[in-house]
Amino acid sequence: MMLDLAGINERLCRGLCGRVRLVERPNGRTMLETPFTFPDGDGYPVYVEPTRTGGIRLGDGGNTLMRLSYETEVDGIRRGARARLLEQVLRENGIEEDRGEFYLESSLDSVGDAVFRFGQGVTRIHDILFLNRGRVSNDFYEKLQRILKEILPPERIEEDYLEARLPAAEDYRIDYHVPRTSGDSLFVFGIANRDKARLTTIILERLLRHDIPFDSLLVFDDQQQVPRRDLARLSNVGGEMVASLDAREDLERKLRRKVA
Amino acid sequence: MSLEEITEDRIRELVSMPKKLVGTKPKSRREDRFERTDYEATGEDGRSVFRIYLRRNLEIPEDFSCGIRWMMPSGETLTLARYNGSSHVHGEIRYECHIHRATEDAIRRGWKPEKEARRTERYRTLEGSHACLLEDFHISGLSSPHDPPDMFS
Repeated sequence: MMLDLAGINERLCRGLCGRVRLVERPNGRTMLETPFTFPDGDGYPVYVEPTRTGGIRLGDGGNTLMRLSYETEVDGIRRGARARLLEQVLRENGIEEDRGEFYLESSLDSVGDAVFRFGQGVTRIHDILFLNRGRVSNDFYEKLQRILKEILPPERIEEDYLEARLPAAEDYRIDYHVPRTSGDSLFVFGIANRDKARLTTIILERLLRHDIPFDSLLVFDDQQQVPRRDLARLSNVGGEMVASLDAREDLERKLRRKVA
Repeated sequence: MSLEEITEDRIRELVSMPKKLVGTKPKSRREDRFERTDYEATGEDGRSVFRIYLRRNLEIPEDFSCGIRWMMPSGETLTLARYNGSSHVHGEIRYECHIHRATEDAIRRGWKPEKEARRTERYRTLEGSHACLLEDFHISGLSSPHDPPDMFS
């Protein structure tokens, strides 16, 4: 069956054009409506202003970073791998940042291209800031699991362990349990982020409160990403730490010494 | 229990469980173009931990949000609800305040759990949305004024 190119083109133009338009709001701001949406279904807020050179400025009004802050500290994206990725996305899409607002400027002749670049750019920024965080976190836990099983016989390691002597143990799951010849336990925790640091603190405190004999080893994805106060509270109740999986030799040394 | 196992019944339990503010009245701080306030509440079971956040775009009054997340024992988090201002569209909801709620259906489909949203006239400001959240989620230890009815809508 042959494609009706003219007919489809006409429908594409009508369909796409119909979904991209400027709207003047009662507050005096002009917004650009597009088919782009965040995963929660909210449309991208795109604010439109003229530039001094007769072009057009598309900006997010600071909304992208405000959304990010629902679940994390915005500072976290200003450092390390995430900051480098963000810079790359901005560069590739011709987007700039002004005090927390992402924007791009374009001539009127190129406004169609600008709309796609801006929408694509915000999507990639959002994915880096949200999904990459999740992906980085999953990669970390997978890598930790693999390394532990390379260091110790897999049958010695119990994952997602419930300490039977702990009331409501199902709410205080322990990442890894390694029984020791001394009769007590080594608990290993993977700490991917601040939330996990706090949860681990709670779990360790509960273990201590119920006088359960154990030792612990805390392995971070990146210890520097955990805020100082959370780290301090965790170090008060936890055992030895490994700052990241890059320190594999240190992890192996500490782990072997603790289970010897 | 993992996120994938959450049911509508469990969501209802989490919503209706009485909760209490942890610590003292939270303070706001500024980050670039927005102001943020964060605090925690614990459930009456003594174990469930919830994080509540308020955000206000300092340059665009209609752009605000307050939400509540359940910190799951598994280490995951579930956004139970988010009360949005009228700065953007959501499907057929055009520049009206709307409330996102977590649903089992969205979770099963692999969507953002809080993808479903309904328009609301219960609030117009961040303070009003916060008052609705405190009421809907039975949070004590803190208060926020409801917005008066809009006589001109």
